[in-house]
Amino acid sequence: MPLMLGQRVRAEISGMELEVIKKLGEGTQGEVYLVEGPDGYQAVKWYKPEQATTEQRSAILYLVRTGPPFGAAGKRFIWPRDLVTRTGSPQFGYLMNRIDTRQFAELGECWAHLKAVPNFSALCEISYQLANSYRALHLSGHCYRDISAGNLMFDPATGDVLICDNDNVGVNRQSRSQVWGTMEYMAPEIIRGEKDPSTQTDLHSLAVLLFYLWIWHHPFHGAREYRFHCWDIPAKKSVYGESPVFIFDPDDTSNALPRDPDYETANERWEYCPQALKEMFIRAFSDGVRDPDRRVTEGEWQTLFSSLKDSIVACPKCRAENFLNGNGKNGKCWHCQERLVSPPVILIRRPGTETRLALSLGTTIRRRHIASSSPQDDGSEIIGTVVAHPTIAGAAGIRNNSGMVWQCTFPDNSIAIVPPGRAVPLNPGTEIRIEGATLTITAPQD
Amino acid sequence: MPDTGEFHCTSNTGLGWAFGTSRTGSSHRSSNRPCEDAFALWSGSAGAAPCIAIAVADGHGDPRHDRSRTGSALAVQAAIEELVMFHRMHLHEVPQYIIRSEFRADFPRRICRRWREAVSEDAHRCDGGISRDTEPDNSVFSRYGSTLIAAAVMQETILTGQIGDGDLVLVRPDGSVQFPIPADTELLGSETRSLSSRDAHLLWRTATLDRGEGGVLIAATDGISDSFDGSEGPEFVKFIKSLVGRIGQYGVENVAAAMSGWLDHYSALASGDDMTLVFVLVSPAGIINGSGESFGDRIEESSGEF
Repeated sequence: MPLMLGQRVRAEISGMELEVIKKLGEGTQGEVYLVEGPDGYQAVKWYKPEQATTEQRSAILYLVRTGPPFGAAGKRFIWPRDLVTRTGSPQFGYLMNRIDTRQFAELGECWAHLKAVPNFSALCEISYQLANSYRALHLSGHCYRDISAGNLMFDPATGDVLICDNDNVGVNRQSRSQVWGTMEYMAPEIIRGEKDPSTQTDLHSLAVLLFYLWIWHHPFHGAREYRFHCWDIPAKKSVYGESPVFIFDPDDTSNALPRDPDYETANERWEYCPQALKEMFIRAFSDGVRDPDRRVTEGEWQTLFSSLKDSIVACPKCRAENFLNGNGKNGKCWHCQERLVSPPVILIRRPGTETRLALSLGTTIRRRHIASSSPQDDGSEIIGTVVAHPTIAGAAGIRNNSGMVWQCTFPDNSIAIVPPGRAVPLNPGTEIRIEGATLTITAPQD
Repeated sequence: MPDTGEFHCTSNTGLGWAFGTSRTGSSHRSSNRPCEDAFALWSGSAGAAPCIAIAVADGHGDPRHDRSRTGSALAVQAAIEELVMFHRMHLHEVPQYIIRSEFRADFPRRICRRWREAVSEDAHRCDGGISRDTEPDNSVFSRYGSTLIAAAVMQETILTGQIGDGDLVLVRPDGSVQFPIPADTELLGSETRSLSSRDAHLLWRTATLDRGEGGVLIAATDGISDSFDGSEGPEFVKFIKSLVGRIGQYGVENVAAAMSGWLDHYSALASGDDMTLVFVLVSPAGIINGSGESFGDRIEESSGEF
């Protein structure tokens, strides 16, 4: 039985009484309700009778006890906070934070133009945060088992991510689940019945989700899927499991996109992708399909999307985002074909790494640029921001948003201290030392 | 596909009853234009699992969409075929959550493709010059432009999908009114998404519901809500509630018999547009011989399958 408005339910571990305020929606496994309790408004996912099994109850209690992964990466998981029961009912659910659906969107809502479509910068951030969170989950010894667009919500403006429906998370290669995901996201070896879900199969699902985010299409929906008039289970097993071929595989065009209006957008969006991303997708859906050990790891995705975001420049004419040396052909804007002007770049050196960050108004330098990120800290703290000079038109500087004093060496070798809140002029040759990193502003190079 | 002017019904023991009618708008009649709406109903079983499928479409009906009457007819036919095929593919041992997620993932793409295939066939038949091997360009599809609302009532689940304007409403037995598919707030005035739009398969809005306690599922073209205060407007909701109330008070046969006259009246007084309304009396899940008794009388025979 579903819950009734005004009904009281109980959070088993905390002992809190909760009142059902309204139904928020229906998921595939149960309904979601807004509830009010001592901690204010929260949400309860209430399982359908067939999903409310003893195993699921144990799984929820395990997740409540374990908690989400630590740090920023873990905060993106809408994690079960308590087991919720109703007197006299064998059904149960779990308590979780509620989601602000005015801020966060599902991918399908963006496709249908019900919510804003994320730009390249937001797409990089969504992709980075996804990889970062799944890396943290996997490092904690868990696998998700049901990664799909249906479990992802994001802020189309900022790229902030929430990962929902975490009740299927389990211990890698040990616990079993009621839910194995939908076939279009499943790793081929699961479909073929050779393996159970694991962190390794999660990597395939993550790659499919990232492909959907960027290309708005499934990586195996090409000529083969097009030819199936009856899209039944044997057809799906064939396309996703038995002989999956990437639609943009340069060495095997047997499953290339047909000439049909359905595929125009996928073709266009693929062309907009920077080469480094195309190469990563090709590896994920060719080598990674044949050999699960060669799948793209979360860390590799994370590094890629961080560097892609750092290379975004705005077209001087139409303001469309372009990847520096990436998607614009022959140095021209992909949207209006205007010649792109190279921006100044900041070269960031720290032990063992060297990264480049294209600078334009609003560009942010984050902690991950100057220090290694960890599963507990995704390095998203803003250290510096490129801002316009308050009085001199066209002049800009990097404002110190950190809590530390920066030491700057100017091209004439003079040294200055830049306290928090003040800015360093954007002059080529200027060097900034922040903790162990050296940041050098370099002139535009055409 | 039923002719306009008649009220059609179909039934399936255990799931409920479906009814539909399509009326030529008063402004269409005065300018000698045909009704460009279409609807289709289907009920049946496969492997002892019953299903009711409904579809409602509204052809765009201006000179740029000069074949939209055919386009809407092909849309409801394609929708029923795709829903029935989907039902047949999910008969046994498929958990409900898989049925729901596969519907959301596959139906929009498959229905758009099926509609375009049907349009290509028709264009080939009408124009002759188009080779069967070459895909017509987008301007051909645009001539057939239409909206589409489709729904399937299955044993545990109600699957719904919509592209373009129109209304899909579920009134539960407790009187609560649900609009399961989120409104498209981005478009202004009479603009609408269409099966002929670029990326049509991405523009679908879908929702899946528990059959649960059943209720009355209503699908209607926008000519009806435009005669009130638009989709989800208080006056339109009042109309929906009164319709469900009348079913309970006077019985489905009487409401069905009167519906065409009511729609003609609203069209003449208000929008002037074509009007199509389909409603399904959904029996509560678990009722073996349910027929929506909580809303109306039983009807013994079914008719009007497309």
